[in-house]
Amino acid sequence: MAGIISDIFGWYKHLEVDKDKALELIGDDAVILDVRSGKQIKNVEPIFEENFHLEFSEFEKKFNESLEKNLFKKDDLFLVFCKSGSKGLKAVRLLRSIGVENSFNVKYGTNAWFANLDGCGT
Amino acid sequence: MQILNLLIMATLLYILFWMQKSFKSFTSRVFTGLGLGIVFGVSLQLAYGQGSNVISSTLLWTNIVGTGYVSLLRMIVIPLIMVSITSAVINAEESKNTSIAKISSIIVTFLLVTCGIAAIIATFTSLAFNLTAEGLVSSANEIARAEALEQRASSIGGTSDLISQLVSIIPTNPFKAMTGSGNNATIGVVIFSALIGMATRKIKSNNKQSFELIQNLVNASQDVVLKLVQMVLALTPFGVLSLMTKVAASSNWTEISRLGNFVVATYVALILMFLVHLLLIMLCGVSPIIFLKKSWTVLVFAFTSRTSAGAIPLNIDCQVKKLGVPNSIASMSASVGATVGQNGCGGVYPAMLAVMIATALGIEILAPIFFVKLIIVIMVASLGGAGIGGGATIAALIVLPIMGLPIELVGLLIAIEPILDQGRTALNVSGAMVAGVVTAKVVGDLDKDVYNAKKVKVV
Repeated sequence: MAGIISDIFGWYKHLEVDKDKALELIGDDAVILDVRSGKQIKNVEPIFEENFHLEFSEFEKKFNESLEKNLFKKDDLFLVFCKSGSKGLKAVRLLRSIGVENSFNVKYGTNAWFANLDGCGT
Repeated sequence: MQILNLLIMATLLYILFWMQKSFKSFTSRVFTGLGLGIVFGVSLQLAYGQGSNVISSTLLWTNIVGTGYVSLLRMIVIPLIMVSITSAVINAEESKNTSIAKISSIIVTFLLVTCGIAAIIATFTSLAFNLTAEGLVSSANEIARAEALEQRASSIGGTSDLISQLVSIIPTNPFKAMTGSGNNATIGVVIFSALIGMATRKIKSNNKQSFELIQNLVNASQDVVLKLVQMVLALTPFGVLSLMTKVAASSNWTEISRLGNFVVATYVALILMFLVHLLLIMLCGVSPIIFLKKSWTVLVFAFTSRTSAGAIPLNIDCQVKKLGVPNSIASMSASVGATVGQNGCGGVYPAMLAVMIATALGIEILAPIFFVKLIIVIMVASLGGAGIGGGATIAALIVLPIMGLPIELVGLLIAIEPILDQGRTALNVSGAMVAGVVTAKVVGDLDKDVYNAKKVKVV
């Protein structure tokens, strides 16, 4: 719900991408970070096979661990998604604050990914 | 002040719009609408006091959304019933043993039986609550209402007319039924559409070209109508917000607490009957919890809008997409269940009134001659009532004279009518949905994968 205010004023516009842009970034070999909880992942069909599951509750710790294991590098292109887009946005803000400039959140998360786009979903 | 209220309403509507834009799930949007409506309505009443002019003039404007939404739903009911039932009959596979006659007889039987159960439950609940018509005082308003009802009742008549009402379910003029006039619109259109479908099937062997033309026409119109239904249903959260605001802001709590005993007893009976519904779902071998979760939005709509007929589109949509009931059964059970054998309006309400009045007159309720007659009359009346356009009041007006009871009490309850009607409508709709699931189960067409699926498949 908190997102309604920032949406009106467009505070985080530069941190977020829509579905089309996200697909474009994936074409550019973006590293996909999934910050959903295990239960949320189980309830929705998977989006991409190749992604790193860094649960939001311990996102920073797991991110640093993966860096140490050389699973990806700090100057890679990152695409973060969660269920509704709000945790993903927080994760991206955290990434930017530790100097990962090439990171973006999928706006409205998997909810938007699987929604039918004529706006008639019931 | 009114401007301020309307600004708040606009903000609430924007919140719902934003939730839709950010792809929040339909259920959570409906519930946000419901919650916001209750909070807003109650705060209106707290701020301006019961029945103040500011509230009524504010509601005049906020009702635009709610009434508009209900009107849109009513607009699509008749086309929806027509195309779904016609196409269900035309497209039914020959090999399957699920003829429309079989389906509809199972549905009607189920609805009548559950209606009878509802009446029995209501009778015992009223006895447990010691409900009686004695000591209820009537104000001028209520006396006027009673007089109007007397006239209405005399035009409805007694036993002999009940039989002619059963026959009048058949629409003498199908186009008049489609215009929604003559009160028996829905059921008349169901019968007409089913007959058109059957006639179309019969020309299949001799006149294949015409058959295919009609089949394609019907299927194409069904695609369009279903999209239209989806478009209207997408407005549900906004409609629920507005309808709930009206309910919460205009409820007369002093009147309700004056007749509190009756309200509580009614809701106890309704809840008990709803538990029976869940039990019936359980007997089908599927989880009642899932049923509850998936049907909740439809019940919320029925509760806030008080229209069984308006809930038909939501009902069909929910049964087909979420509960795995085939389209033919879903459209049949939703449209028939909106008029015939209404568990709440046709079963619970007349039974409670009959018991209250009979107690006041000193009649022994549990004497078999009274009790059994009451249940049977209620069941038949719930079928016959469909012919003259259901509703709880009508059901009561048919039942009470046949039982030889006076009808003044129906007028006395006018003040609490809205709050009772909400619960009853929800129970009616729930009954229709359970009828769909049970019928699908009986004929072996219930898709359990869809029923158990957590996520609704996106089409």
